[in-house]
Amino acid sequence: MYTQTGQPDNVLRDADGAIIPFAEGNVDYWQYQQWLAEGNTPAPAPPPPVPTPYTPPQEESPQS
Amino acid sequence: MPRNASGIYTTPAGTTAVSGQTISSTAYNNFLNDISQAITQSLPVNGVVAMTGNLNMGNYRVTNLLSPPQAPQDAVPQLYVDSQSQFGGFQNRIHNGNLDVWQRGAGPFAVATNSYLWTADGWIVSNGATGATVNVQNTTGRFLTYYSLQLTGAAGVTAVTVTTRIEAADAVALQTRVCTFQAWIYNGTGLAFIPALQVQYANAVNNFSGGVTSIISANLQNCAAGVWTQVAYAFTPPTQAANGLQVSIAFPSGALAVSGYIARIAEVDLRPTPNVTNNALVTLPPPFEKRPVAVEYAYCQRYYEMSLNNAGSFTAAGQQQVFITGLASAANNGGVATQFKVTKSGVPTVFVFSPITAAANKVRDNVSNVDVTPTVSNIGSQGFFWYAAMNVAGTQVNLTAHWSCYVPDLGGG
Repeated sequence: MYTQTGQPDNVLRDADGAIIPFAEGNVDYWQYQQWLAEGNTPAPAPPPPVPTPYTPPQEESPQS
Repeated sequence: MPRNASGIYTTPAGTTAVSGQTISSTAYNNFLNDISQAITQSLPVNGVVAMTGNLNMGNYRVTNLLSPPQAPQDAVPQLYVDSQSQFGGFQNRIHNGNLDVWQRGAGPFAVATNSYLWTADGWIVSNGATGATVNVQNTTGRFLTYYSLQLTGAAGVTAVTVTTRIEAADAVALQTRVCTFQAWIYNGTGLAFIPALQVQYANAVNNFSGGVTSIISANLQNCAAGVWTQVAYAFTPPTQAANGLQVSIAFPSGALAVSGYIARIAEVDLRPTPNVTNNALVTLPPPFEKRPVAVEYAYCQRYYEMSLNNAGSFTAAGQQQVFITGLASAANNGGVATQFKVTKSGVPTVFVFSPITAAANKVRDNVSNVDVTPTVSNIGSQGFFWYAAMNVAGTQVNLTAHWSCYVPDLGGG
């Protein structure tokens, strides 16, 4: 199984987290193409994470 | 004295026959004894006895020597010398034939039944379809190398095969030439066994997963228990070997089927040997070529490389993880172009992983102390690029990552 990465030049192999480049001669890419030829489709890329808003630490009020 | 200091033979005084005079028995016997001594001190042409002193050629040549040599002390003709030096010192076509480079760690690697693992750089250990797990690790070498590859058996282990591959660009020089494969094997089992040599070529360039065609499967020398044995065999790869060559040592089924039984492999070499008899065991292969470990290490990194010393201690001090730091920005992310130390033989498959948790396809946000997902792009034979956003907006950018990569079928996969 594979998952798109959002990049046009590679795909993620789910089994081990490998990034497989779309490069002729890369046997992992060749196997990915075989997998596609069998009618499979990679999962869509997950949406980019939304960063948590930054909350600055509050300054201590001076003691009176 | 039959000969003088110049080697000239002169008959003894008083032994020369005179016409018309009777030859005395004394003179006759003196002559025979003297000439017998001279003949005894001469070199018999059939080689039944060895020299008893140094042979001074006096600036003359020894001609018409038989090739190839059959013993380590044999003189060799120029023909043989020429055939051995055609690669300028890099005659051994097997990378990590010395079994000294273990970038993935020293092991033990547990190879389950019906599976395979990449162990030492360039070496795949395959376990039989049935049986039990076999363990692989590095251990002391035989003589010329620091390490060897050790297989440790267990009850039920069946067939075990140790394989290496030669990329197309190197294998092309082997096609249609008689080549000699050699290795030293230590038999740490209780019984002798006979390993087999299996050679195949890839059906497509550097693609072994897509299918291979067998060239030979031949028994090697008998390996007695408790000792190292040199095995060697000559064969001729066909023109299709230019797609890449796969060479395996197959241990017979059951040879490692007892807990604690071991076998070791060391000093593996494959090269053209034009004057050797084809499709036959070789009694005296050329000397194993051991390249300097620094050279061999870089050779191995042509196919596999990682940002750390080995996979077992990636959090240790000194491991060269990728580190990015910078000020907060609107995007609040950081990225880096990572350069491989050695250009790969092809575009590799890449792994980026957290240096803290080892989670795959993660890098470490060192402000929030969590793993975040990177984006990887532009993978090429010389490097790749990755970037990632911090978990919390507005913080300082501080990311670390480890990576590894392999060229499939040649360095991993």
